[in-house]
Amino acid sequence: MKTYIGKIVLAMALAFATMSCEQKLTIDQHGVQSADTYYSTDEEIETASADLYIKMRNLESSAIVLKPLLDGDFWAGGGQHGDNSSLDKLAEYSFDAEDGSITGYFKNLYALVFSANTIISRIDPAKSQVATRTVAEAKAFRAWTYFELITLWGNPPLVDHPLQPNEYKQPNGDPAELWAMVNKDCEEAISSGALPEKSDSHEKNVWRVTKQYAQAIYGKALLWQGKNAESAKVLDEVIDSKKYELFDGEYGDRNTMDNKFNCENLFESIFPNDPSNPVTSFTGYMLGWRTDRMLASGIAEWGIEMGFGFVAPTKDLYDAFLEHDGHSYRLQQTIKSYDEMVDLGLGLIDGAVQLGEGVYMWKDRYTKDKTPAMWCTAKDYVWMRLAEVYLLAAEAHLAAGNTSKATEYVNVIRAKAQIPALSTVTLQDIKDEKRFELCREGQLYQDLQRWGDAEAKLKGVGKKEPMFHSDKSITYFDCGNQDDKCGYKKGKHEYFPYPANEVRLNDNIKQNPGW
Amino acid sequence: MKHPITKISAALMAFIPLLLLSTGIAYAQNKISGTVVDESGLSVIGAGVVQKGTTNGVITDMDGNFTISVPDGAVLEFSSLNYVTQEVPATDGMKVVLVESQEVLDEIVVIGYGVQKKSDLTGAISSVKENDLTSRSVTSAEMVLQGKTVGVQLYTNSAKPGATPAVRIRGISSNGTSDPLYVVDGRITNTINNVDPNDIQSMEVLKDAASAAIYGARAGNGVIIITTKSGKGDGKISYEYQLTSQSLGKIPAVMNAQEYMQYYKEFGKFDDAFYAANWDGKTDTDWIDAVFTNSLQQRHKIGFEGGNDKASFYTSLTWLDNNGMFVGDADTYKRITGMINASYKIKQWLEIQTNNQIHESSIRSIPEGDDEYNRESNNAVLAALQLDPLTAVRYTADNLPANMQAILNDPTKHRLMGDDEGYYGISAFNLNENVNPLIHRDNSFSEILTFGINGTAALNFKPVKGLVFTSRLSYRYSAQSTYGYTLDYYATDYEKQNYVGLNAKNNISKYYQWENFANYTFSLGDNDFTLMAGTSYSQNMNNFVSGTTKGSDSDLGVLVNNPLYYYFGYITSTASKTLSGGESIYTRNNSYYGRASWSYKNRYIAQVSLRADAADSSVLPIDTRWGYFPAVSAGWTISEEPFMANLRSVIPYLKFRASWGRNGSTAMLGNYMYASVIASTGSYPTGTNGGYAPADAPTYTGNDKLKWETSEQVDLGVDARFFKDRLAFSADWYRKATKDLIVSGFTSSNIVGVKESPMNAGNIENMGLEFELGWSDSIGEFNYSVRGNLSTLHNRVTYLHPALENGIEGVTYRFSSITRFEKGYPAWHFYGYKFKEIDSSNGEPVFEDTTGDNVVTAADKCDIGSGIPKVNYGITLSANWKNIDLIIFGSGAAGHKIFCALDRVDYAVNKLKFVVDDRWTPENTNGTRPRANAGGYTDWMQSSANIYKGDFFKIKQIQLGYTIPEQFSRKFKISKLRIYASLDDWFVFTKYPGFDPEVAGIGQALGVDMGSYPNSRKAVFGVNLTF
Repeated sequence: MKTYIGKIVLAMALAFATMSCEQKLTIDQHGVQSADTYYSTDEEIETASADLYIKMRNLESSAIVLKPLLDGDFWAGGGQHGDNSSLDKLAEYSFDAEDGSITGYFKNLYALVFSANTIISRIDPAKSQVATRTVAEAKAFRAWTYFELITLWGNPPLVDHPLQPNEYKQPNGDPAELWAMVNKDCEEAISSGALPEKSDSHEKNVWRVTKQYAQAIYGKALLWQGKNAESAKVLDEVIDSKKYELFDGEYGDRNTMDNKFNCENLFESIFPNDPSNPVTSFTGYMLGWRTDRMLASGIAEWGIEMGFGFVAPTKDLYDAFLEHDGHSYRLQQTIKSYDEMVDLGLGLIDGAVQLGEGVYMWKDRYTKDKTPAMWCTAKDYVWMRLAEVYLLAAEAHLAAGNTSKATEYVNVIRAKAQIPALSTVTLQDIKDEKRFELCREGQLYQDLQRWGDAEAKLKGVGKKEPMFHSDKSITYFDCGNQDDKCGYKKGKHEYFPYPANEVRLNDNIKQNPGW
Repeated sequence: MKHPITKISAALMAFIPLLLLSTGIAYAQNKISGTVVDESGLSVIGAGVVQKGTTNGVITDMDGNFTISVPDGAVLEFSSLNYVTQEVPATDGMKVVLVESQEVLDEIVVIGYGVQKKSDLTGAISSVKENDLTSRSVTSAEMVLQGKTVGVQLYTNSAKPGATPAVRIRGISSNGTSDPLYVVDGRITNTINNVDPNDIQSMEVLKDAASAAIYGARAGNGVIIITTKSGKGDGKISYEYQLTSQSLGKIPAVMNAQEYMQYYKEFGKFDDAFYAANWDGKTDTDWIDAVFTNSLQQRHKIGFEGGNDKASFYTSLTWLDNNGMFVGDADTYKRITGMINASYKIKQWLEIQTNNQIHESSIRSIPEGDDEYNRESNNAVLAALQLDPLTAVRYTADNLPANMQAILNDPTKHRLMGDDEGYYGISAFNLNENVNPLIHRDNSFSEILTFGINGTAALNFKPVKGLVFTSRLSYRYSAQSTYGYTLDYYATDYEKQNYVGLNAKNNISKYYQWENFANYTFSLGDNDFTLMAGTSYSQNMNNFVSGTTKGSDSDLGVLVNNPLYYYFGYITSTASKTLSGGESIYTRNNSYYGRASWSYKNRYIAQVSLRADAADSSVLPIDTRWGYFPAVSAGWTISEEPFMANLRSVIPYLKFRASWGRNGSTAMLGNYMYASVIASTGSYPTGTNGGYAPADAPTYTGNDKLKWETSEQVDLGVDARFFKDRLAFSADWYRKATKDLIVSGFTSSNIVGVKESPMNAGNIENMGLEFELGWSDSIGEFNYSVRGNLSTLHNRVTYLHPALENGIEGVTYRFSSITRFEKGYPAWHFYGYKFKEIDSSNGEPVFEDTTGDNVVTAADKCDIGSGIPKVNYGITLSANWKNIDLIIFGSGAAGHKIFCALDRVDYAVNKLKFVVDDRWTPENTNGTRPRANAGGYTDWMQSSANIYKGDFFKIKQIQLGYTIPEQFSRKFKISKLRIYASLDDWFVFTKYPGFDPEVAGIGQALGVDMGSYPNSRKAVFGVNLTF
């Protein structure tokens, strides 16, 4: 019997030998830090600052595709109708609240708000110089983000801190409160004294949000609020700082890979030309000329990777440009006619057909020497440049009664465009100047809405799409849209719809009228 | 003490015998008395004694005695559970010796941490025995399950050499992985592809939750227990050889040169002048025929085994070499598996046992687009379907078409691929990502080498009668190296590379599992008990180092463009490099489990079990780490009831089973997905100076309430045998509800601004019926059996978090997702437009306006079918006569759809003839397919028009064997020599127009055919020798 006891004890010992293993179940996670203790050193704060720039850069593809498609100067483009039906729907004004581009932009804007809010709520600006600067940057980013949200959606939820799960269902914001937050953020960022400034207009090493960029955001926001004199004053400070000047190189090369951080750019998102750290962006392929319909010899000669030809300029735009400028240096450097393309060896394959009307963007071309595309689009996205500041300031001055200042500013732009100066400007002159100078830069859509010109320009769009043939004839494809399913509708298209899933999930948010 | 079940049965008992015994007795009756004993002379209690052909019967008493009144000349049938039924003429004072039925009694079923007699089972367990495994041409054990087990479905993503199908037990029970858990000789594992099917003794599929619950948190998708062979009998040396010739089975029809040219002329893509300039006027390439060829698979196995009551030893070595059907040697699977299994009874009270497998394999594959989301490009199989017939496979240098000559002349391109016979043809017509399949084959190289050793070592310790303590250590070590390169070449602007890219990865993984458990078996009167309790601890460590290098347009990336330099040591200093890994990643588990079984006179059986599992902190937060998984089950062998005794000649065995259990699944968990932490969001360039600033931010909201996916399953079953056990029948009904599905990529609100951590946010239900029917009999020397099985499956997503009201989007085909995981529908059902008709005025497709708003928009997309078969079935016929044996085995599936996603509209791809025949043309305005270049073609591709019935029946095996009579083979010292020939996967019955209805995607792409490697049909020859 004794032997049995020994054996049983042995067996029991074995049976329960694994019982003490529970503490081994705690295994530390690699490559992360605890959210509770982070943001304590300058080094950590710098990483939070860099995150703002990455979140801003993530907005590039929406900005460069979504807004130009809605401003009436561009066809959806591509190979044929249906090539990218969501872009078709934007250009045709047949999109709905399910639209992926609009949902994506809304979501990514709030992602930037989250990063800014995390910094503003977690970092004490008095802690260090880096902390002061980072908080000021976060405020500038938040102000810009809310400018977009307010101008595009009207009354987006006001979120000024990272949300807890019980706060996820936010109601619409009050536009007055929202603008107040934008103004306050701008003022605090500008007055922080921590935002860098360029030493002179040709300094290329300042990649952060500068004091002048924050001022430009503020001036733009004030113009939208109808505070014209205040707007003019802030924007004048940007111009008078002399930290920026209009691009002094070939007009059409302003936004190419070699001209990053040129003297005109107030703020740009950086897409490095670094194959070992490529930033994936599809925009180069999306917006580049439709290569599969172009002569191979031209593609080879110009070193074009590949392009799908989306967001193609309309003939109306070209004709209006021609009428305004004449066959000016600026026009030739902005848009090429088909004959000009043929002269450059960039004609269509015999018998080929492509969507569009035979006019091609030139200033945003994606040729290998200027901008290698291939996933990494190596040219920066410029969020604001001095030409826009001049035109915003001109409009603010004109509205505030200072016509001569407005005229002076517009003529600075016209001189660069190599077109004659005006003796005095009207609002229509500024509108035209903006349309051609900032062509396909994504600013015009919000202006059209603010000016109240959207309905007149965009009513009835979306019925047909042009097909351009290699014999230069144009045929029109019937998009199959009924009248009530396309075109700008007053009382509806003033604002974007809140994303359909947001309205489904968040019963506190009210959909915009008409959607 | 009377058990409640006994009371219930007593009530039933009162009724049934009345019915059965009510036949009048009209003849002169003789009172016959007798005794029934077993082979060892012990009385058989409760045996049925029935007058043959009547319902007149009694049962034997406690001493095996009976008394019955029968007419003169009556024959009595004697039957009892686990004994062979006998017929004996009635004589007074007769003594009948019942012989134990080997077939039935010996059937021991392996359950978790123990074994059980099949007759005692209360759960639903399917078994695959050795017979189903021998002489098959399959290369992995998973494939054996198809058609042989009821309730097990196989889904195949690709049938390329070395690929294994996905196994689903009782349906799709997750939005993510629902692979079953494998237990090989006690070792828990996720994969069994390193076990050679010929080394397997049996496979048991624990389907119901109560059976599987002993494996707790990982059993939610069912458990498959594999027992490898052990040595038996006198020493034996065996050798097996199998030669398989593989060829393409089902060949889809695509357009020929004339049809292609006509189609794209109608399309407006090319005109006659273009054809004249780019086509030689005669080429009409059948790409499928050009790239698939006959190929061989060979298998040698040598084995040594022997055993007695103290020791057993089994060892084998198997060599498998499969060269796939794709032309050339770029798709191969080579494997060597060794097995050493031994056990020894050191003392009466101590037995040691060890099972070990060693394997080494190498896999080479052609590109198939690698994963289910990226199959449309770099896919050599899809390319064979899509390439135009106007381009030849090869062109000699002096006979190049203009487009290829232009490439050759262009100093920036000029790098055409080819071989001794010429340059690989490049189409002038079709310039998409899929080019000549031979270019896809040759522009890259990849090889996966795996070495692994795994097994178990156990001590069985028996201190007192009935008590066995087992301490078992299971281990696995595997080392895998992946090596590959991509070459400098030019085919089209999409398919080109200006440099040599290299990639290599070395991965080691070490796993051990230590389990200690005790089984105690005892009896109290007629009550038999088995109690089991134990603990388990396991740890897996994974560590890899992986690197890639590549050049650029101006940098070849390697020092010399020669395969001898395609290694990291010989890259250019300017080549860009990536590096990852180098960390040991651990996962651990700690568990306690127990089970109690009770049986009363073999009539009433009940079992309860509980397992508690704790996951480590990479899987779940500490507060939710423990999961508890209980189960109960009961069985009632009604045929053992006294009142059924006189029916035993007809129904010797009848059992009802019921079970309930809860299981978990952690397959979707891991990698700290619940945590809210600061992590890298990338790095941002600091201006134009080339520097970068690292960026960090909170990356997830965090979810400290995350828990396991759990499923609860009810199973009701019946097992019966009729006609002297010749006919066996069993049926099961189950309902399996899985809740707390883990959903990632979730949005509660777009305003939150940061990714939400995964949540438990969905429920799914699987319900079905399973039937198995078997008949076996002999007529003289002719023995035959027929076994069939059929299962139905009803799968529904029953709940999703309101944030996911529109469902979770699945696999994308031409930029739109065509599958969804959505409430109210089967998992990953097809989603798209409902095709109505072709507009006879213009050839445009017309779709249903499901929203009723008079316009067809994306909102009109709806459910258009499911890829999950409603019915799976299998049938096996086997027969032998003298030395000849025959097996015919087939399996099939029905009630599902296949989404044929092989088309595209943006390039001049070849198309299935099915899709272009009867298209609308101005002459054929009643055509049922869209005109070429229809504006709505992309929508049409994504519509129900491209969904086909997936029903198929495949004869998986027709095998004829002949065993050389012993008197001849003896002369050569051979104790057994069998030769056989077989046609495997040879006949397929289906209406599906693509390659192989069996290869149609898994997971999110379930039922979506995006052009994957099809199954081959095989002619097999083999010889089995035993010395």
